[in-house]
Formats: sequence, structure tokens, C-alpha cells
Amino acid sequence: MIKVEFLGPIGLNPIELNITTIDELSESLKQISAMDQWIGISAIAINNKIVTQSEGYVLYDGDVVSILPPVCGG
Amino acid sequence: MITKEEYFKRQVLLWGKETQEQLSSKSIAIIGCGGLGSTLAISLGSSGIGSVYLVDFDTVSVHNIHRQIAYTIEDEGEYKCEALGKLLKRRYAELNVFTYKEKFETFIAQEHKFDLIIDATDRFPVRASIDKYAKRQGIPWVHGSVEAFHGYVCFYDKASFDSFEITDQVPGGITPPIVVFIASLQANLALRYLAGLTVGKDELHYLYFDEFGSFNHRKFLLREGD
Repeated sequence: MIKVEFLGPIGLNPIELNITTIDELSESLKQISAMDQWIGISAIAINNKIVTQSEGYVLYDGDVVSILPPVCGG
Repeated sequence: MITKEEYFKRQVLLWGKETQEQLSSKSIAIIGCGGLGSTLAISLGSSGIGSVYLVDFDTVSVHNIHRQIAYTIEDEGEYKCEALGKLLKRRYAELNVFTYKEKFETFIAQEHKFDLIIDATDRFPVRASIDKYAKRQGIPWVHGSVEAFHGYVCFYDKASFDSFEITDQVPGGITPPIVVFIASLQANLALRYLAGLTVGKDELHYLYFDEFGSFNHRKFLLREGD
């Protein structure tokens, strides 16, 4: 199982998913209505390492995925 | 007359006279003279570094002043980089201050040489431009972004600024303490680097208060750029 945590103001409790790719992760997140405003603009980290969706990263049992919200201001 | 020995007494106590002296050969560019830029310029401008380039096309508005701590009501209407530059000179007269009332793209069309760029902007596209420019110049840059009760800081060396989509998102609500807090971490990384101390590079720091009011600091490694 893959643990997914949602950081900062996303404010959702962690979930566990039975998935193996980032594409599957994206599909799963699309099913969560509270994620509508965050999908496509948030960063993704796997085991505390930032990845991009284009990398085709494979997920393994026990991996922790972090969803990081964007911050714009300065 | 104020001497350097007197002015920098506590810093010399920390890292010695030689380190303090070599700081005077360092120069930085602060891109943006708003919230982050205010704290960055005040804390780094009086550290003993030699030169500061301040870049911002904007003028001081009343609604800026609560969090842009370099400014007072009397500065309303003045160019931020110029008001900030005057303050820095009042705090440390030997600092060389260069001000640019223009956008970043205009600024980098000219020839410049500095040791470090610090991001104090409020737009993703400008940060992407800073990253590309820094890579071309072969120098690092320190990213900072802040809103509400959270923010990011990163000392970019080899990694690319590609963790987030480069959107045209505009800043949301904000208060003074978190701005000073995020800028202070940026300034710490910058000063350690300029002083020749070790700095954790290409680590994205995410700092935020969660829904329970607990403060969190998470650190994420970035991949190297292509």
C-alpha cells in the first residue's frame, strides 16, 4: 500500500492507496472533490524527494507520497 | 567615528575577523523589495557584505507597509528600491547600494556580476526566469515564497525550479510575522553561503502551521536539472 499525505492548507487526512504509478495516483486524487483546486498545481514528493509526473515514477509498497501546495507570494 | 571593529563586534566573535573581512568582497542581488525583500535587505545589508543590487519597479502603497517592514507611511509613493536603499545606507554607510526601478527581465539585459541572487518576488514566471539566469551566470539563488501561514525556502544550486507548475497564480492573504520568518531563513542560508560556511543545497524547505496550530518543517530533496 502507498500512503498519501496532504500538506499545509490542503488539510486532508492521509490515505492509503493500492497503486503503482504516478498516473494512477493522479487518477485517484481526481476522485477526491476537495483536491479539485490543488490538482495540477501542487508538487509531488515520494519518500521526501520531489518528482515530476513526466518521470513515470514507479511506486513501491510502503512508499510515502506527499502532496505539496504551491505558494506564490513574497 | 564608527569603526568596523565596533559595528561587527558580535559577528567577529562568531566567525573571526578574516571571515568578516572577506564578506566585504561579496555582492548580492535582491529581486523584489516587498515583504521578503524588506527583511532580506535589512538583515543582509548590515552584515558586512560589500554590495547590494535592489530590483523592483513598484512604489510603496499604504497596504504594503504592515508587512514590508522597511517602509513607513512617509515612504508612500516612493520607489521601493530607492526607499529601501536609503534605509540600508542609514544602517551601514559603507554598503554599496545599486537600485533598479525596473522588471527583472530588463535588469538582466544589462551586464551585472554578483555572488548570489535572492528571490523576493511574488510570481512563479519571474522565479523561473531567475533560475534560468542564475544557471547561465553559474551562481546559486535562494528561493522564498510565502502566503497565509506557510512558505517555501530553497538554496538552488544544481536543481531546477520545476517542482511546481509555472502558473499565473497571484498572491493571497498574508500577515507580517510569516513574511519575516520565511525571509529570515532565506537570509540565514544566504549569509552562511557568503561567509563561506556550509549550506544545505537543493533542499526544498516547506514550513507551515497545520490545522491544529502545530508548526511543521518538512524538507524535500530536489533532482538535478537536465
